[in-house]
Amino acid sequence: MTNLPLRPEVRQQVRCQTQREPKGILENGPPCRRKARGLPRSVTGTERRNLKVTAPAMRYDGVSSWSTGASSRLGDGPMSWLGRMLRPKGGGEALTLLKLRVTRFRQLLRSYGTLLALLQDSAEKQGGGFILDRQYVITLAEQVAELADAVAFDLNVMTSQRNLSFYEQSERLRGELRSLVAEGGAVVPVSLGEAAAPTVSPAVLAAALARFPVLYRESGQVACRGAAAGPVCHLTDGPEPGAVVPGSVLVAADLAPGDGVLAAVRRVGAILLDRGSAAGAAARLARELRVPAIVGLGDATQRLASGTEVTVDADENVVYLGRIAELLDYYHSARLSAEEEPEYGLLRSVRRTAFPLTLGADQTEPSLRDCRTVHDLVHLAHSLAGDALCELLTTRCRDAGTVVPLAGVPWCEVRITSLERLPGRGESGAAAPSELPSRTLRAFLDGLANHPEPSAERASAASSSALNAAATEEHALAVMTSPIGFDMLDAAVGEAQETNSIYCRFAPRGENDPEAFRGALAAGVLSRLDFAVAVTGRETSGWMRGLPGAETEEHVRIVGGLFARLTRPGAAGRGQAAIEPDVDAFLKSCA
Amino acid sequence: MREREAEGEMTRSLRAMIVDDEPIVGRRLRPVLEKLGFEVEVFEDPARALARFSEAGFDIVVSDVRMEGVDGITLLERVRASSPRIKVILITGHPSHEIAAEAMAKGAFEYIAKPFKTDQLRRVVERAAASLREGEDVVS
Repeated sequence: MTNLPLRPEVRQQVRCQTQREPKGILENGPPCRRKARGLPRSVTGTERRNLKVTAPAMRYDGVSSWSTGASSRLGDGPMSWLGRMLRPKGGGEALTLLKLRVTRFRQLLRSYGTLLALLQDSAEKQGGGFILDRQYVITLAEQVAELADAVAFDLNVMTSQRNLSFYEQSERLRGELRSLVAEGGAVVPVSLGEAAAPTVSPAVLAAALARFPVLYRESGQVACRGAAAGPVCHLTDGPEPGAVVPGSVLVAADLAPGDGVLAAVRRVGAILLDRGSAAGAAARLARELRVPAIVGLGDATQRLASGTEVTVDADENVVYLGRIAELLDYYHSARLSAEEEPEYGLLRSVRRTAFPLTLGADQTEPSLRDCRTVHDLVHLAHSLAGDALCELLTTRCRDAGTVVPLAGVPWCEVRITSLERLPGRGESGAAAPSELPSRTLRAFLDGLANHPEPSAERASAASSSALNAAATEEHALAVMTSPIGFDMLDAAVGEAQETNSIYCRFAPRGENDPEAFRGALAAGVLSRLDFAVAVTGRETSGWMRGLPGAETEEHVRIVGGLFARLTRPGAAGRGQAAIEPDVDAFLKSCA
Repeated sequence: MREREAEGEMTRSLRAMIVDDEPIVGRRLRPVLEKLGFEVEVFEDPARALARFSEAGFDIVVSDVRMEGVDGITLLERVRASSPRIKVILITGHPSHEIAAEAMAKGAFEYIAKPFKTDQLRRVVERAAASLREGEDVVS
């Protein structure tokens, strides 16, 4: 596998992830296994020169400490709190370390994002709407293995080499992927050989297809290939859930688990959904039951009336109006939908080793031994790295921050550290989020300060909360600590859309919250906002990237509001059914 | 409707050859082309494909680039030397600018990186068919 050529984007990813953090400045840890793998680990001459240039700018410049007694700082001196905040304070080395660790953490998050992108991409391919070969699967396996290795390295840099066993787990998963690919290559597709000769000639088939109007072409994503025809049947048509006409084409907005969905899917000939993606639960169900399906069509429920006869060609992502007998005969006689090619079997196996997040919500402290997939490994790695970053920001770097009494957030001590010399805003002396030079942090604090929570209720719960933030002009890291744990935001908003990103994580349980309503509410909100959401017993987290700047900023603002909302005391005895109204109420309050 | 049928009549006579040493490609591409009305033959061995090519006329060739024995560029050269009107579409799981440039310089009609959507190939083949009918290259 290692001899295979990598795609350009993978090479770039690997290049990024093998950049070294200057060990001499940070700490002395045990030898890294990276060295044994023949990869460079020492600081390069260029990196040393760069550090010499940048480090003095971050050092303490002699201004006396004014990190306490915050309320009296507003507008009471020759400089505003803002101007003073922008001046680097004591603990220069701690700040340098924080800056480097933030960069490393963001690299971990990029790996996480890349893994999610591979998940999505390979799910699309698994759906069957693409022509692929074994090389695609091999490259996918190689990309995933490289990610696992890079993540193990980054985690160990962030945790002073305290997680060396991640390398072993990464190696184990790499070996598993390598075996799968080797075995997959050895499979001889005996049963597939030559497809049976179709009884319908190409000319007749093409003429028939040309006669029927096309309702959708490439409008959605293929979730499971194949072809079928039948009358449209909406999920809600029957007297009870799941009572669909056998052989019909099931049309629905989405397929949520329960409500007889499984029974319905088993009976129908094909599925068309308004929403969903090839990586979603409905698509997985369709593939599991081998039912031709196209998802994400947008308006199928509105456009296709019950009883309308349609033909679904999910091999080519097309829906025709009417029943095309020639196409069905062609598929039937050529046995085109009957078997799965070995390449797709191999892809399924690789995806099973790479992508499911098997760390369950019941595992409050999952360990490396619980990691069965690469996704588990990557998830646990960035979770532990987040812990380390939280500790660094709230302990070693705490005094480097300036207490900023922001209007609207009297219930929480806010301490901000600048990670670069930001352009000053003069001597305004105003203490409002809108004055902050960091666009990202400004949006977050704006959401936090302006969320309309009942203040009395919140004050009692949040009195022991503290918010520590570190920011550059485009990037913000914020950690809110409380007796129940910590919540974290890492976000970047800039001109380059592709680098805009938001990561946030929340402690799953509040006080008096045995059902983890807190984490479930966070998951509900983040899902509605189209974050990639992961829920484990350790935390609820969300990730997104690639949105335009203004949109990303708006999402950061809403996440700020979510931080405020989740300071409310826990809700003992509230089950999952109570979540949706709360999600609705929260999002309405942000509008 | 009549126009569509007439178009189907014209397409019906076209013949396509698919050459790829990975069986899945021929298996999956055959229906795409047959739905367009092409008579299709599939080969996993490029040497056999070339032998067959000299026996029977084809209008469009869809071929992988990297294959044992005869690679796609060589196949392109031989096919085009034999019949310049034939449209050769190259597909590859190892895309590179260099190979793409070489392929186009040697007369490939299109160069597609795997994995690709069936619709992408369908549109390229439709363009190739239109080009054949008009007797001139269609500007892509």
